[in-house]
Amino acid sequence: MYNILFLEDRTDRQLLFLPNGVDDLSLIKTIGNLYMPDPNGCKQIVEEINKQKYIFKSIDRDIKLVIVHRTLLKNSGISFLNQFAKNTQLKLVFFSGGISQVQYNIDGFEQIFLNSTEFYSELLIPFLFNFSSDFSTSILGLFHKNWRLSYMMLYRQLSQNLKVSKVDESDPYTFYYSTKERLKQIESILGVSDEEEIDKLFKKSILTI
Amino acid sequence: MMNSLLLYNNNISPDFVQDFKDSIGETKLFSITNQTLAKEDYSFDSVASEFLKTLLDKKYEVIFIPINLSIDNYLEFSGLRIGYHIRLTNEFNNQETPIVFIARESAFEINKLSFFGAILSCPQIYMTDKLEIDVFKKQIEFIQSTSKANVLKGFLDRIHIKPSGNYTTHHSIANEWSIMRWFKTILKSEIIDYTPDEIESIESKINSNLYYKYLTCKFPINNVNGLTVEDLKLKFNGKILYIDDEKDKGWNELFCALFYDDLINKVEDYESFGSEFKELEKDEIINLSVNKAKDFDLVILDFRLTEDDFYESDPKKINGYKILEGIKAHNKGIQVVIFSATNKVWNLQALQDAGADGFIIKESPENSTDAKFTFESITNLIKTIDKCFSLKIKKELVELHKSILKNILVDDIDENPRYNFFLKGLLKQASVIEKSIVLIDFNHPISLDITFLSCYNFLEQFRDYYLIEGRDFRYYLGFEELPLNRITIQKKSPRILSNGEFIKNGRNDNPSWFQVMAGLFIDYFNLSSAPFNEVVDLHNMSTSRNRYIHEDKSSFTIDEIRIIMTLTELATRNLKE
Repeated sequence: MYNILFLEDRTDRQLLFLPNGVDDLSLIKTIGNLYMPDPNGCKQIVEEINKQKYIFKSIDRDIKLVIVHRTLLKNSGISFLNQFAKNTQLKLVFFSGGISQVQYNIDGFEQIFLNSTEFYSELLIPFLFNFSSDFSTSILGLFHKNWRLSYMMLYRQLSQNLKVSKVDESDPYTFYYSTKERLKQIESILGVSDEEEIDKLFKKSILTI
Repeated sequence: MMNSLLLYNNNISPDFVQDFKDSIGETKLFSITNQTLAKEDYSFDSVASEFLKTLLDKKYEVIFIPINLSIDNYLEFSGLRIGYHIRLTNEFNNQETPIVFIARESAFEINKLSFFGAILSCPQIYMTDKLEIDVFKKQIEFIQSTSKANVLKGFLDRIHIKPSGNYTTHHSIANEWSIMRWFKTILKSEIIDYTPDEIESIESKINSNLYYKYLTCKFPINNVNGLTVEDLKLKFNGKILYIDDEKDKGWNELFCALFYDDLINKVEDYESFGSEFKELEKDEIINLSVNKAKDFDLVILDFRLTEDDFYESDPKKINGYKILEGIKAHNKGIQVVIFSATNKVWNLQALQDAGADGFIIKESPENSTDAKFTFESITNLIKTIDKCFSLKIKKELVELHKSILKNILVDDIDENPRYNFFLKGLLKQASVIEKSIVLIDFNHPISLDITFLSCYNFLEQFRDYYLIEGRDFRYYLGFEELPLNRITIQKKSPRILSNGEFIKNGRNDNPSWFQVMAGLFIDYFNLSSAPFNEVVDLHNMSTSRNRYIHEDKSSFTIDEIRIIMTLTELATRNLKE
């Protein structure tokens, strides 16, 4: 049963970018619940995704994460993945040489767009191993080894804005309430529940970089 | 009310945004939706550039931006990135407008996490960690009291933008950057007054991509040397084939304008080839290219023609090299100019060893630090093409040489050892001729002399082999022992005069090279029923050679080379014992 679908149609490209080339590729292939088809298999799956016919859950698979070279997919394929991700919390990682700026998004589901050089970094293998054993692992870990800092700074930005917001008890959808909710989410990701503590943690972590 | 701007996203309190609007100035929401992200051609830079376009007509006193404008990933520092776009967008009236970044982090902390933090040390860049209207107002007052000189220069001196992506992307950047620079330089010179669609599409990419914006600001195009039509005029003419998988990205348009549209030049023929390479196998690419090249005098050849080429480290396995090798194997005289972004010496060395006749380097951004580079690249292209056209005769000479080889390489070895020895001698001399053709260079006239004399020596072997001195004071030709006639040329209104059989008048009365060759052409080989022109040519070549050896002739002309090569080929056509 595999849970990670890794779609890359060019082994030579992988070997070029992976920091330890063929050794890294062999290591990735040892991950039991990761499926990285050969170029022909990849072509076939991509075609199914683009035709919106790919089945994410069957006897041999229960896909939790799709990693795909962005240029393989047509708009139809991307919207098919998005639609499925919205309903199932499937996580999406897109990489390509043409992506100039990393883009991470958790609006409805977690997805990240990375440049190929950023994607095939030292962070890839630890991330894949972590994700293969814990599907809640954040894909932000692919982008930055200090991804927890991103959440700390986001927390600080949101809490500062929360303080200058008015409370409207009659409307639960206001900025105030939605931000409070997001702060709680971040606290749970970081395992810290106090702004002062997050401040301290941030100051301490940044000094170690 | 003050005329300032706050850029914000959905992480910023709407109450604060409203307060800003009420007492400081304009506010503008920056957000990237999932629909935008899902677009096939999505790029942050395009979104940022489109966003700034909505503010093009405005001019602000101060712009406030949270350093993070992403909803979920602070580490993108997208607010800082927008700041870079503001500084690097020419069309935006606020290129030098003071910017205040809103962040709870210090510049030191931000710099530890991102190289985009460099902007924080630039002129007219400020920070605030407070979200208070009064603090913002005081900041505006302070900024108004400061000097705003050299904002852009100070910015460009302090920051550095790295190109994103891998080698293929880098290659594509060099390609687009180069075509853009070339076209803009030519447009500036007012030689061409239109911009083709392909260039417009590159221009739009360059106008949105942060790295290109940085390059454009850092290295503006200067018509420093004042390119003129005269700089682009070709002195020679010929047929050009351009092979490049990315030809349709603007280069083909540019070459058409330069060589074929009659705006500046009109070469005999111009064709381009390569956009179909993505669909073809390696062998097909090489074979089709080499076959096509056979009909042209000059091939402008890109070095890397498929994606595989970018991952290949051995230059000899790269498609451009293979095509060059194939063309030269067919005819060493076809001129091949390598057109590439490569600046690796080992690649250039390998190509030169394989016979490349010239190099035109596509301008990578790193070359643009030299303001004259574009001008010199364009004029170098014209000079290189002219040089190659001037040498296009080599192709014809190589064809003649191939024909000579075919004539003397007889399959069934004759039993006559003397005749075999003669053929071997010819073969040896033919290889000298071949080498001398490849080395022809008009800057070194002696190279022409070497070719001429090599051909002459080749033909002298005919005299040595075929001429037989009889015991009856007569001379005979070859195995058939045909009598040699005393042939002369009447100089005024040239006429072939035959004064009967050559009978030796005295000790020094020997048949000349011309008389032996004329005898062979007319009587022995029966090369033509009326070989008037050939015999006159033989006479002229003999005279030229004697003038060169004994008198004042300084060197041979290319026309003389062509004539003696033609005679040499003719001499081998009906070769017999």
